[in-house]
Amino acid sequence: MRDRDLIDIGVLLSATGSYGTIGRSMLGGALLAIEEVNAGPYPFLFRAERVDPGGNLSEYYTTAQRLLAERRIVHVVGCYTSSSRKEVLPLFEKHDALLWYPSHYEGFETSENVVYTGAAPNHHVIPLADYLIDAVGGQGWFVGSNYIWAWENNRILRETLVSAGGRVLGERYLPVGETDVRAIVDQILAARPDFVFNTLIGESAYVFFRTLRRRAQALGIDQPREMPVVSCSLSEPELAAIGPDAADGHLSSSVYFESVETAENRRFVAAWHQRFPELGGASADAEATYIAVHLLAKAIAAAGSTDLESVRRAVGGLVLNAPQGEIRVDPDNRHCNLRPRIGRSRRDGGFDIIAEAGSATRPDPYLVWREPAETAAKSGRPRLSVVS
Amino acid sequence: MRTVIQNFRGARALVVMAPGDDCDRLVVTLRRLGLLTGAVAPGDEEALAAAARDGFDVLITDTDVGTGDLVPGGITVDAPVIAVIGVEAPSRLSRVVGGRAASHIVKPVRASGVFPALFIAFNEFARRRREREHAGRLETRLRQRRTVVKAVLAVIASRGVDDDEAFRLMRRESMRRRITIEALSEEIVAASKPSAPSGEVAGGRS
Repeated sequence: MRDRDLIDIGVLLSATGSYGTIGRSMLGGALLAIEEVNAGPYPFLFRAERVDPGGNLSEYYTTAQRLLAERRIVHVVGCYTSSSRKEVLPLFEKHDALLWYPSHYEGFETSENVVYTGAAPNHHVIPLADYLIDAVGGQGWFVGSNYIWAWENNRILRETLVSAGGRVLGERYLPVGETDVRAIVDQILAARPDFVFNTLIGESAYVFFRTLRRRAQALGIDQPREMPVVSCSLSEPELAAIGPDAADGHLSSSVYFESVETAENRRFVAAWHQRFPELGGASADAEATYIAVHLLAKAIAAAGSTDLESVRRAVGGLVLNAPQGEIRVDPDNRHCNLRPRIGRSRRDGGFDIIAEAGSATRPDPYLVWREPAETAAKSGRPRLSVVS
Repeated sequence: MRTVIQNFRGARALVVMAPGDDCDRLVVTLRRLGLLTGAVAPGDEEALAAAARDGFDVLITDTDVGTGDLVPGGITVDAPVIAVIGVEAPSRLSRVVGGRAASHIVKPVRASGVFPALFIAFNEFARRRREREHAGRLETRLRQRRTVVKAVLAVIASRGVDDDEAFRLMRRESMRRRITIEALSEEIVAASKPSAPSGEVAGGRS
């Protein structure tokens, strides 16, 4: 057998910094997939060139610059926050490089230089809004980290709630990394909403979950039952970071939970725990990163080349048997067909899946095909079906 | 607050651009955003007239090609106009201003930038339309001022009150009947002509 070509791929993830918990989980997904690709039948080997911007925006620019300009790397798997993605995108355009972006995000983007393997808004916030209106209640209190992820998701949920007769009782934003949440927690407990919509990320979120639970208990409020915290991003390693006293009873809208029952997921989860016993459960973002690397390998194999144009053409329409089920890259917008699910967290750090879509849903990053809530109700738009 | 227009699904876009990469990328992006899109080349007046007859909800036109009006002559545009700008020379840009483009896209056309241009253009155009309607209502009222003056004089004469009291009576009556003061004035003026019977205010009931 001839020697396999060595292909350098960039891995641009913050394993340190305020959202390092998720960054380490994503890095795990990337490394596991790279090892599987290298053990597989491809005529090439991947070698990871890792950089860690530490959650610092300006570091994203300089580290991406290093990968693209100095190392001449074409394919980079990375970024978690949208602000970091927007920061590096001009570099990818300038250097004819492709960013494999492995995270759920708020949509309203379709860059020619990005493949989006995480959930689009019609995969997370829209199914969550429908579920809340059907099963939880219409009075929400919104708390988020002060950037585009929170702003845009809050807009979408607010419009959906209001058009269904619901109401937003309060809305507050904290700087990324801020951990003084007491004043907000007290306002929420005084307002008694049906649910709290959380778009805080990283440490801010973990402190918020703990503080809300503790102060609710002091007031004799059964917080998970009376005002559950709902999120579009909460994942298994974050439940571990929150700690067992406040980990249970939260709703999360996601295309992947470790508890998804597919043969591929059983294999993936076993491999995950064997390889990374220190990282806790596999998260949606770890799975999206794992998917990104496998799609990259398939696309390069199909294109017979690593150049941007050939790989971009080859990735459209690719199908992968992913841990969450079969996924497909939409050739039109290079986001993925994914399967929306709602999970309820448990004290042991896992999720019970309580509702899921019947099949993978086409990505709709600009929410072009979303009907207003009233029309949808009349037309009987398929909702997630309750599974437990 | 008015609802912001943010979904353009089903809107008809007429693109006036020469065939090529920019035009292709623009058309693909518009279709991805759910717009029904047709393209005609600049200068092809026959195709343009035909496309215009079919109707459109937004006109997206290249500013680099041609002279004279940004919106080609012979077609009526009651829709937002988006300028696609390559050359930044004042002779080109003045056409953008003259054509009252509601937003613009800079060449080379990329996928990003098209959605914001649509978003701004549709909402800016809706606002201009509301302002135009408001201005129209104000002009009508201005024209009717002469009638209001005549009506006030008629009420002064018939009721023996001063002008403030006459106007107060008229305002009360117009509010009671939920008609404008201008419409009431027309009735009073018509009624106070020598041959006509008296109107309500002029006739003394209130």
